[in-house]
Amino acid sequence: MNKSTGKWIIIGLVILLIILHHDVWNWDDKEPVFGFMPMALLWQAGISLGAGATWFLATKIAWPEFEVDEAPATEVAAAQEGGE
Amino acid sequence: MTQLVIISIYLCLLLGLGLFSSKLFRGTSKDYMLASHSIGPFMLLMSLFGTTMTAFALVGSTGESFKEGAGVYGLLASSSGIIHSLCFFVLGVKLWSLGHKYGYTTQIQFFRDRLESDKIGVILFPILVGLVIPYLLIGVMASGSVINSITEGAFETAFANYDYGVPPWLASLVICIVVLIYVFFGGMRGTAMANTAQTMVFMVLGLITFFIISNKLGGLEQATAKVLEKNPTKMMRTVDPADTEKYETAYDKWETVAFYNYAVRNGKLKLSEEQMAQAHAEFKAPLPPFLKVDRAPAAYAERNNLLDNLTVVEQNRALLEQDDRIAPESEKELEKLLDHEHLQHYPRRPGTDVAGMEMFKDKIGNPSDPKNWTRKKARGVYRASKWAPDKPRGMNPWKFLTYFFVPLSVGMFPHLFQHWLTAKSADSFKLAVVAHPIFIMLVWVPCVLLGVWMTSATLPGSNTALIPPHFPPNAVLAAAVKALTSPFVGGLLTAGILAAIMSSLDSQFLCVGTMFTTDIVTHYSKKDRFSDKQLIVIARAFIVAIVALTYLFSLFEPRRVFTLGVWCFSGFSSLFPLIFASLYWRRLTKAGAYAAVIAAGATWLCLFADSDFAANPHYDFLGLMPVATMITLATAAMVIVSLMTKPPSEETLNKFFPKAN
Repeated sequence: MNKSTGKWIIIGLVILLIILHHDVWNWDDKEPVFGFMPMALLWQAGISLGAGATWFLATKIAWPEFEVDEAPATEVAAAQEGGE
Repeated sequence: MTQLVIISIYLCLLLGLGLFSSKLFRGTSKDYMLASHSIGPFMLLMSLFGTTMTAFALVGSTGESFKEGAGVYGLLASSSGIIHSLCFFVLGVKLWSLGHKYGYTTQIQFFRDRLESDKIGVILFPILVGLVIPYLLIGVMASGSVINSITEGAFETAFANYDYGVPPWLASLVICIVVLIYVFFGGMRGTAMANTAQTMVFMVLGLITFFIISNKLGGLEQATAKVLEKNPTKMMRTVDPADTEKYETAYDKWETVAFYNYAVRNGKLKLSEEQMAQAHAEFKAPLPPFLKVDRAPAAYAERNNLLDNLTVVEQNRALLEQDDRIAPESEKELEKLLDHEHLQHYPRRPGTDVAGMEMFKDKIGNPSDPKNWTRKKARGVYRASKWAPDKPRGMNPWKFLTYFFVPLSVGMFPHLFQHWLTAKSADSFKLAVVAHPIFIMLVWVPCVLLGVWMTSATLPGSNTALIPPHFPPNAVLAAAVKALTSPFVGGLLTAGILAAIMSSLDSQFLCVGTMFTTDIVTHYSKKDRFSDKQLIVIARAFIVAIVALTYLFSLFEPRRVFTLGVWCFSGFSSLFPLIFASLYWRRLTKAGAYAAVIAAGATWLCLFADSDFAANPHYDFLGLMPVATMITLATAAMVIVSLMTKPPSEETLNKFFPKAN
């Protein structure tokens, strides 16, 4: 899979997470899940797990590549001295 | 006292870590500010996470869920899991690569280069430092509040006005000094090491304490069952009909008490001794004596229509006085009976806490004797017994949606920019990007659950609320820990809370010093005017000045940590369009950037003032979070002005967008 396809998959997953995050269908659900966990909390904790999985995928299929010099540049402060 | 000893040991250990990291210091300003780009994946994850999870995450989230319920997690935690990592991925890695390539240390250096503008630094520097101050303030305020709450009763006679615990002003001062010392000794390397250690401390201790507290509450299921029974609204994001019914009954009763007290105070009613005796005999509600004093005769007066002679204006004045609010000069505003919502528009009278202390002066004492009340409890009970009952509140779905803009702030946090640049390589970011949402979950879920449970938890073996409804939200976590754990565990968890607070303060301290020396001192002085050692001294002097200023602010009337945090983050978020466009939009111009910064700053100031400087925790603008307006206006100003002005030079475009050429 090329980086471009990977990028679009990640964009799609992030949009999906944003939609799922706005869980209006759980707004008035007060019954605890597993006997103790409010649904409002459990669903959103699931979003956090989903985010972790999405970003894991991002590091595999959409991680950017940079050409970086071995030695970092020196301070730019000197170059910027004097202003405009 | 045990708690105080543990906290002191922890602070000493931290100072030791600062001294140890100073041994690794290479003596250059580059090493002091960026740890010579040597931070690997694990330390980068821990320092980024520790830096973003401040008092806001522990103290703020517990207090806020105590007030607003379980939906608080969705407001900021889950959205942060998506947005923070997105920012690390989309902005952090790219800025790291540019910083590595062109030698940037601060955001302003990057913006000066990208926007071909020296003066952008002059406008951005005060804004960024100005926004870091409320962020620092959250930590400084919360550390004082937590240490004071947890050490209540530690002294026999000293600090009676602070419940015989360490006064918040002293606790905040000590925390500031400890962080200053280890930042001064260790620089960025020391900060990253301290952050890593402290993040592990607060995550592990937080989880352990959560399970200890849930056990004390009778287990996870029992703790939640009590909330479902007493405050079901806290379990969801709309208002439960049972809570509405309960509130309406309580509000009606409260109105009656207000009318009765007003009538008695103004000579419009005086019950005879027989009537008073009958009132008390007929009053069956199982309330403590101090509540029966006015509730019993008020109920009697209402039953016998003795309050019917009050005019509407008098009734309104009665409500305002009972709720400790300032009545308006003009009677015109009071010609229609105020409902609860309108009542809340009138400001509270200053000094109401003094009245609370006076009311319960016989009960207040050293809390080392369990029979005594603390001043915080007296204040909470006074408010709960005198003020109108809290109206159960749901969450507005539009506000919930627009909260999503708040975590965009990480894109513009100057201290995170500096942390990004410490990375050894672009790949060092991978672990932080993936683990950040999971770590947020591990910290926030227990805190939110705890806040929700505290709304309905009762003292062991009784039906008395462990924490009264109007209890200061910033003190809820510490109060729960103190009430439900042993002094030893309480001390350890306090160390954990302080670890979270200090792991943010240190990066922010270091960052403001770096910005001052790099963007102002070095930039506007002749080459080699200052040696490396002199620069470090200048950075430290500026840090001390900013910390002193923040400390002074912390002595004023405290705000809710969560509310103040959201305002601070909103300010940074409003600058997000600028950083994003500068990396991904070739057409962004210098004038467009100025327009964005001015629009963001002006909107933030106007809305912040309109919210009564964060005093109103439920403030919205057009039914949305204020940040939505700030980002929209900043983006519109940036795009319109950029398109109307001359594009950047080819040289700059080639430098920042090489692939397009």
